Amino acid sequence: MSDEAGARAGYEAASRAFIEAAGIPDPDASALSDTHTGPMLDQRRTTLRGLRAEGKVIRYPTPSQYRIEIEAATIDGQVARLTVCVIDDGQRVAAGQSSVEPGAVTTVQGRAAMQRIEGVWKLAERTEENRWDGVAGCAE
Amino acid sequence: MRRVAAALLLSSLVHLSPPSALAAPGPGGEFGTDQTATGELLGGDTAEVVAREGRDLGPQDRARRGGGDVVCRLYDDAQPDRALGPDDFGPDVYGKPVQVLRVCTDRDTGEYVDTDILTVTPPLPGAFVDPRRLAVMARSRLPLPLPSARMNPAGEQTVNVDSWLWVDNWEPQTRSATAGGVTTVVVATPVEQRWTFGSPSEKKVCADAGTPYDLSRPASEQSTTCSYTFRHSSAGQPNSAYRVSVTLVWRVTWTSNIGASGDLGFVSRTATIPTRVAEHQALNDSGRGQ
Repeated sequence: MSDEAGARAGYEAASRAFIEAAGIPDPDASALSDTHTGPMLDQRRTTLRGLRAEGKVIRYPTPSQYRIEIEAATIDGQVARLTVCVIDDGQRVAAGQSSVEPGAVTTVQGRAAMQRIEGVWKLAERTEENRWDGVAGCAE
Repeated sequence: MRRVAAALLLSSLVHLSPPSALAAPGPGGEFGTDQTATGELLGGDTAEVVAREGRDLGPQDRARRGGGDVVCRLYDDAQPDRALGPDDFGPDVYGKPVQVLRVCTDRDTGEYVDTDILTVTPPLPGAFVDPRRLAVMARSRLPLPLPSARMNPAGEQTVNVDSWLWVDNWEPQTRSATAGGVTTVVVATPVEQRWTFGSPSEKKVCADAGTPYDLSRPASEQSTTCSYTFRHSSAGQPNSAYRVSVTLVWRVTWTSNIGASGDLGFVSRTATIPTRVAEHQALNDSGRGQ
């Protein structure tokens, strides 16, 4: 697998790990530290602690429109920088709620930095560049 | 004094933690608003630096929908599931650092704006948060529309005839953020409209909204300080039109209920209006009135 393909796969794995942890929510999920590092690992855990404190989880409707499009990737040694476009229809609901109806959909464009640690690409940082209601903007 | 502080804290917590707000579903999945973190790799700027440069407010040429006021709830990070109340900050813990989990959401949209862990030292309510940090949060919720720019005459302009310029949505925008008894109010006040007329050197800057031209009144009874006179027709331009751009500039300031205040700089939004300019003879009556 090329570096770029590895970084892309690492980003997607990080997203999946967070979504899984947020469905519990479990700030100590090992999959988080397997796929995240640095400030983003701290932020993910803090968010999950916030969800737990408020008795909430993140759920996605079935079918979900959630989708990741990695628009660009550059590799610089052990660091990869990605431009991502994410269609996100996740909702934060009471923990006892097992399913959600389709609701608000948001499209977010952001930049992400992946760091390769012991051969594994992990999500280290991420910033939001733009946000649209619905499937719009970078997703069009 | 301590009772006052405790009472203030109690009232703020009651206000901040309506059960309905917690029960209601909110948007914000894997890429919720609170799901960002930067460091050395993407430029580890503080929230204040980002706010000052406006990067958290998106591209200048796109409207930002914004949101509502921000409200924050506080929890004991060591004992989740329990919101913090005044009893948790009684005299027995005065001067002792407490780790607090702060969850801040947009009251209108339900979006999670920020989740953070803070170490605070009772009894001061203000110790729960840096009011400037709250200001940055409130600023992120400001709606920033594109300028609703108008010209008279509407549509095609005429060489050597004043075109009146104004902006319909010259209005301040306000948002607040509240946490632990501290409320910061951010106000974005329009300060300038900047027009360019096809090239950067052809410009006009107006420090007010401009005056809408009233078609029902005689031109001789009206005046404006915001106008521009095209000297050349737009024939030969792409699509036979100048790309007139209008930038609405807001100055963002903040105040808080604990005395602190400050300035978060300027933000702007730009709209572009393709504008045809034609040459007409003997049409200069020094006013408008089409």
